Amino acid sequence: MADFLRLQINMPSIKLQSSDEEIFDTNIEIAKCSGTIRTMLEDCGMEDDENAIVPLPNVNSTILRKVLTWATYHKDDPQPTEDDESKEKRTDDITSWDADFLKVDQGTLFELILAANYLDIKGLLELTCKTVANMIKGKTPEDIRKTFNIKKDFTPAEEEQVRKENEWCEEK
Amino acid sequence: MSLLALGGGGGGTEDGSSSDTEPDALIDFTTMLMERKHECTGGWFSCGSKLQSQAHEDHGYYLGQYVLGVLDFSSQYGIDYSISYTASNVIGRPAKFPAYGDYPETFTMRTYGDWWQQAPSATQEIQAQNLPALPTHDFIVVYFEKFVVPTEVAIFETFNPGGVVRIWAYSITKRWSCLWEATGSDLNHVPRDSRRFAPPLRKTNIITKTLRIEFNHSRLNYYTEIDAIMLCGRTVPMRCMHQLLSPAGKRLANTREESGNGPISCKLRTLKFQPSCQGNDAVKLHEFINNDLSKFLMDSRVESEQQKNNSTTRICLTDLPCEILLKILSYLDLKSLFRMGQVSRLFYDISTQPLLYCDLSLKAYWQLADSELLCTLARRATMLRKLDLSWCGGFGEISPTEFKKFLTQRGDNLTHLRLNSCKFLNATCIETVGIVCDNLIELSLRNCTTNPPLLNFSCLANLKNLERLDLFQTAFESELLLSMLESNRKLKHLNLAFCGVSVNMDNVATHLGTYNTQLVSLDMWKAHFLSARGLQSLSRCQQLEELDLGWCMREATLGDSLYQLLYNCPKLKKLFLSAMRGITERDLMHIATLGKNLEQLDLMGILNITHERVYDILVHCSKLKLLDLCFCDNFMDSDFDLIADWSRLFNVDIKNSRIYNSS
Repeated sequence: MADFLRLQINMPSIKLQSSDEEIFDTNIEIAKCSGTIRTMLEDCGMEDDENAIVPLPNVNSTILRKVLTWATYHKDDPQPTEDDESKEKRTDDITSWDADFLKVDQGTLFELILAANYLDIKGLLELTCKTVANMIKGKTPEDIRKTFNIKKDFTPAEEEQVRKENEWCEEK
Repeated sequence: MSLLALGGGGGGTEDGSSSDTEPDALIDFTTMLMERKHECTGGWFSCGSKLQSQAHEDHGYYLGQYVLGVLDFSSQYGIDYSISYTASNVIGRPAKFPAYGDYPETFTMRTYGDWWQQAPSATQEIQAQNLPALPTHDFIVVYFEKFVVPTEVAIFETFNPGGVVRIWAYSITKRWSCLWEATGSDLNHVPRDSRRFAPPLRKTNIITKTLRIEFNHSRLNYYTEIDAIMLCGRTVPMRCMHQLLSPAGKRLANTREESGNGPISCKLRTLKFQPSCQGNDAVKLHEFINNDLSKFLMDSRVESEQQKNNSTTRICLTDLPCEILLKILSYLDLKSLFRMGQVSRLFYDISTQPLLYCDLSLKAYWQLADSELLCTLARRATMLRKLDLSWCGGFGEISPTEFKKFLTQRGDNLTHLRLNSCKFLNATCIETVGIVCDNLIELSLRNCTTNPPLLNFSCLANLKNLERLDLFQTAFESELLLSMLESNRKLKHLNLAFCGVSVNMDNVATHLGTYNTQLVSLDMWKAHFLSARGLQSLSRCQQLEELDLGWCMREATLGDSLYQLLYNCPKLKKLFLSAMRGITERDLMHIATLGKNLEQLDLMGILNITHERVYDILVHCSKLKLLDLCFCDNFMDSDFDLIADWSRLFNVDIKNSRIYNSS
């Protein structure tokens, strides 16, 4: 496990520790796609210390492994830019690799979202949120409840009000 | 919803003589029923060959009819008072079909391909997540003489076919239904030949005589041209009319009562199986049992398995923190966002967050947007910045009063406002914009011409921060425009294409050169008229990157004006000089030597261009990507191979008048 995701022998690496105390020996450039890790390294001056261990108490080993797989595949992506705002909102731009990567159960998908959020990985957070958005798009409220196992908790009066507001988008 | 109410709404006569001036495709049962008595086998537009007159009094008969009139269109290549390339050319029988080629007797739109999206004047869509995979760039709304239940819509495409992406029908019950929608693959294998394009329509029982055809130009190699549109279908017999008219309300009520809450009923509802008031529930049920039942049973098994899985998962959607849920919802189109709000209290609260409504566009929902929706949105969009209501309210769904109310409540922080082709706009609406929206950076009023013209809008003179003003195909008062130019010194983009005869472009140009020297793009396509003096004034706008002077200088002698423009505006990327007859050989040499940044150059219809000048331009303008040489009389058939060689050599898309046939 020690050489997991180590691209070249000579590349500097750091050790990431998951919540269940598994150590991931990781290429430093890949680890740095996480804003959180980047800040930790810079603030604590751990970059030069080969044996330093970065604890990630909010991410378990299964999820961390997934995150690092994603980060490795995307290591050469250009930094996301702010300018193309409208494109960011489109959800039909998910590549087939990413789509395959996210063929996971809902629990894993949500944990990946939490991990991407905690680790501050913009690209992964966007991808996972878009994926959930795509699971919602075009569905009826009842379908959405079924898909995500959500209970309807409106009072009859509330339900009627919401239904009225939504009349325009009912299929006719 | 009562169908009875519709009978009285019609009023207007539909005998063809007065239809041209009709503001609206009104539904008129009385006339229809009267016409039935005359039984005038199809009227004078009907196509004889299509008329399989199975005229049983009770069943109606099949009828193919051509367009009687045009209600609306987003753009046309020609100008209103001309007969060339205008929307009204779709009226009646095909004029050219089956011939293939560029004919002025057809309907042609303003653009093709994606060149316009690469130009400096390109804009970004507001709330882009609402757009379908193949967004609509242009549309035309046409009406026919008789109501039918449509079985076929045929579009006669006589040049560069493949632009049609959606066909809508406006039903007698005042609703739009999509009869056909293109998928990406529909646009991939399009012949380079004329065609009678009649895609398979969704099975429908709606009764219509009004169609909307939508176009997407992005894959077109050049302008697409539409010769005629035919609507085929069965006329509606009197018996059915009576059924439609009388017990509809009751029947609808009954079906509501009957619909239970068992799993099948629920599933039927989710499958959008809603018995409509247009009758034929039995047919629908039949279709469902034949086609969808097995799928439904399979689906429901899958779902129950999923549910089992869900119950064992560790965390679920509702466990995610609010800010992440908000982020997820920010990717939803407006329709899905509203539906999400119907799921539970939590999601209602999140889905109504003002942050999700800063940018709001109903353009993709033009057929659904109504006053009530505006009212709901006014409650949610307390942080509104950008609003696009283009194409909405064309048939009275949005009242001017409701629009003004919305704007008064939410318009004061608006920076972008797009109201293209908004037929509900009247003078007081525009006044409200001027009074309330004084923070506007962008105002777009494309295709807003009404009769009488509404843009004698002195209140717009309040606006002081405009960077973009788009008045494409909209008539307005000259004085007002000049005062707006004077007070909006930061103006960067101005579109005055087709702006009518009342505005003198030389005066506009002088104003621009004096007050708006930050101007980046200017469109004067088919405006009236610019002379060398005006062009000279424009050369003071040294930031210009895009200039469209197509058809607006006509025969004017240019003198030094084009040279000065090129010399003073080195940033020019797009220069359209279509049909500028005054261009001389010397001007073309200046283009080659000074147009270092040119990417798009349109020399369409310029006479006496020599091979040398074209070659010169290709050699010197190294950034050039598009060069239009159509109707340049010096290029004969024998030259087209040479042009094709140059096109490859210099990697420039060169348009010429050669007709590529499928052969």
